[in-house]
Amino acid sequence: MSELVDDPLQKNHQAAIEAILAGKGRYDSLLLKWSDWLNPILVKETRQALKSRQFTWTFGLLLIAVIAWTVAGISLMIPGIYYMASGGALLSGYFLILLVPVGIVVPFTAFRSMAAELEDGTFEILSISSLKPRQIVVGKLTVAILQATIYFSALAPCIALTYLLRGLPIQIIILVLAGTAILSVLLSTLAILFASLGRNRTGQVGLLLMLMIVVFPSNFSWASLILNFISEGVQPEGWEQWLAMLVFAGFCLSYVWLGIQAAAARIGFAADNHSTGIRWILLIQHFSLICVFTTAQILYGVEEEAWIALLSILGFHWGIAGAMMIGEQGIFSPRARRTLPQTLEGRIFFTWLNPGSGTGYVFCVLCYLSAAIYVLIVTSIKWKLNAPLRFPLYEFAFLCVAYLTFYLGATRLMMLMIGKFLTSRMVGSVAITLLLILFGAMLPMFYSYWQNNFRMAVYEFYLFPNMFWTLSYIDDSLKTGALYWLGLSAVIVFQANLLFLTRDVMLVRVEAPPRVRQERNEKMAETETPVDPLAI
Amino acid sequence: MSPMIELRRLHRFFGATRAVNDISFEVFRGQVFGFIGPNGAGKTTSMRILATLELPSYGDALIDGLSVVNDPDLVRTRMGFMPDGFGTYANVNCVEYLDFFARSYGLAGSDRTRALRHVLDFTGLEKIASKPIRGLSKGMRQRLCLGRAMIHDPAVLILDEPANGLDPRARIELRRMIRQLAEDGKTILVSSHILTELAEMCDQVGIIERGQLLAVGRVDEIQKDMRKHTHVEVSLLDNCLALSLWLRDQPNVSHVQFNGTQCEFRFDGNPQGQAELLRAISEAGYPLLTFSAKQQSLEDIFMQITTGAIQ
Repeated sequence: MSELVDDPLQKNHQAAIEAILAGKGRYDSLLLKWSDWLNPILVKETRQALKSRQFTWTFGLLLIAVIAWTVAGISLMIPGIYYMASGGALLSGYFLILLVPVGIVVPFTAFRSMAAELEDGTFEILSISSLKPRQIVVGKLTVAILQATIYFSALAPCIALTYLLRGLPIQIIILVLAGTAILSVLLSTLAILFASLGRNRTGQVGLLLMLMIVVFPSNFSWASLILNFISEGVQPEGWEQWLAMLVFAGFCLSYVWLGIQAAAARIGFAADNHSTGIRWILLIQHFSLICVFTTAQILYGVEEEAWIALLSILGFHWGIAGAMMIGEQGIFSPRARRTLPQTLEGRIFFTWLNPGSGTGYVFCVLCYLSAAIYVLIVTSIKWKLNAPLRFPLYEFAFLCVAYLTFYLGATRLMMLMIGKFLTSRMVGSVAITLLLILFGAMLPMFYSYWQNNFRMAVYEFYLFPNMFWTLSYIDDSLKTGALYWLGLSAVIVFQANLLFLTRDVMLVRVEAPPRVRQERNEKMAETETPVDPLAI
Repeated sequence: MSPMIELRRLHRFFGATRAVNDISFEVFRGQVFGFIGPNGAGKTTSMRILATLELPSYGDALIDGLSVVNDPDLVRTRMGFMPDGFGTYANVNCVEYLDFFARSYGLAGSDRTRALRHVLDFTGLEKIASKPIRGLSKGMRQRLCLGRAMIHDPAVLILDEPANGLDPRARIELRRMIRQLAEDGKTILVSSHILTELAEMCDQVGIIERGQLLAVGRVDEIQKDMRKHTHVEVSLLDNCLALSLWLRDQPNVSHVQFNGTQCEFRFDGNPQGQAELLRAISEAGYPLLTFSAKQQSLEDIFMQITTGAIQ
């Protein structure tokens, strides 16, 4: 035994064990106790990052760039820096330096972290631990946020310096920092979601390319906007503008929440109910958007364009969500059936939140229809109050609802036929929706050209599947025939879908087996929470 | 006593391939169950279903009475899985790796410390605690993987080819660890290609081929069932030609071969029939030197039962 302890290699191993089990010193032990309250993935990846070259190099390069810019910027601006508005110029440089690690490196690191779990086979052993899929996703996101925070903190003294210089109001600094932080969180969530979609290396490469397509333009747009704001001296003024920005930030964060749920659903156990949580978030976003536009109407009396914008945003919202929901298989294990609504009212209102392509389709159509009806009611009241509509809003709302019903319904009917041959139903249903929209636009247009000897196409009623053309002709020469045919098609497609809805809506709740109830009772009786380290 | 592992008419289809086709068996507390079968037989798929990594197409699998389909969360607290392939993390040493999984299983404070110390001690990983995982030998990695699977003290351990690629010493040590775990009351399902090893450490074995369970039970029970085709070796003082001709006329005897004073044949009868045949040879006046019914090893049984067909 004495030989073992005397061996320097063994001493290292003993020290490593003690460092993990008890900590190296007083503060270390305290941190170790605190870490019981943290997500295990955060603890593990922080340990990894502290040893990784990538983090060290990024942080080192960030510091070098910041110091170099500070020295170069001040040298160039001296002596004007004492009396000229030079804070903005300096902030622009810091902002661009910060955007590289925070807006690019952090999201790609989050992507790699998640993709590596799936590629290296570590995810499987992680997924059978007590960690819930959402904890895994949140853990990955927390690591990204922690890294971004470290990069932000490295720049904190420099940002303080820019505020001390002339010509830079605090509002713009808050906007830059808060906006960049939200962008980083949004992109990191998206990166984790993308990584969770791929199951092999080829898929991951494709998803990485897609992520690049999103990340670089987003950073470029944000950088252009902020540099423009700084150079033009634009800054938010008045509580309304701050409120509007807060609302916008809230929506961005709601999409972070949605992304977390979606990624967790993707990596979760196949027999779990992944859908209901996501549908609740979509519904909350739906009503929040309506509330925001209603508030704007009440406070400022917005024009019709705002309602068109609302219907368009919600059209995208439900169109994308609906295309994905139609890909759901609707596997309903007895476990998931234990949570089904029981009462008649519960079944009428909440059945549409259950997984399944049929419930998903009806859920999307009903939600969007409710928004359209609401918009029509509000604008009717406004019209009654002697503010005549300048735009055929009724037709627009009708077309939007009909297109959503028609294309999502047609996708579902196709999925019922070919869904079992697809390896990824969700990707398949999104692809089918896009193809249907594309063919719906191209084929009638081609026919129209052919009718006119390929010289010019004239809008005729049979062009109704072309949503882009129909919606663009809405305010002048839209033929009523198109409205009629589209409405009829949407009703037929909806009816056809209802015929295949029985399986999704006939499910009833089942009770948990006695063995499970016994286990739960035992678990509740012996649940132990981590000891509060602050109590010592 | 209720079984700790129970497979009930388990099926798993991948398109037209029936990876697992109607498998049922039970394993009780403290038993080591060996899962034997050629590559692609459905061992790993069955184990992955038990580990809640895949859903069965039909049927169910239960761990400690809890369904892997309907209550995977509860099953996971009672089961530790050691897969064939072992993914690792960069920049993580052995003790950090185990600490991470202990945290992932919700172990905190002194419980985690106790679990880590126990696992490090049991697997003998204390001596390499600060080594990065990526620098470990195959044997050490298997130990670490076993340690990870048992960090939350599960009642059931599912080990997929744990001895694969290990040197003889590491195999013996692993076998000793598995037997020790069974003595401590763990129920273990282990698959392996090294049949002799399974015969030594398993209380029960199941032979699987093309997704179907061909035989299940204790090794000696299966051997007993297989004895209707006993392989007998006889040696005489003289040439065996006359004996071999004589044997061909005897009931239940087939596949007679001879080489000098040695003669081999297959006997399709019970031990009593063997005794009668021995007496008959002796009474027929052949100068009998030895008469031995060859005991079938697990390998023989495996070869006899399986056809080597793949799907």
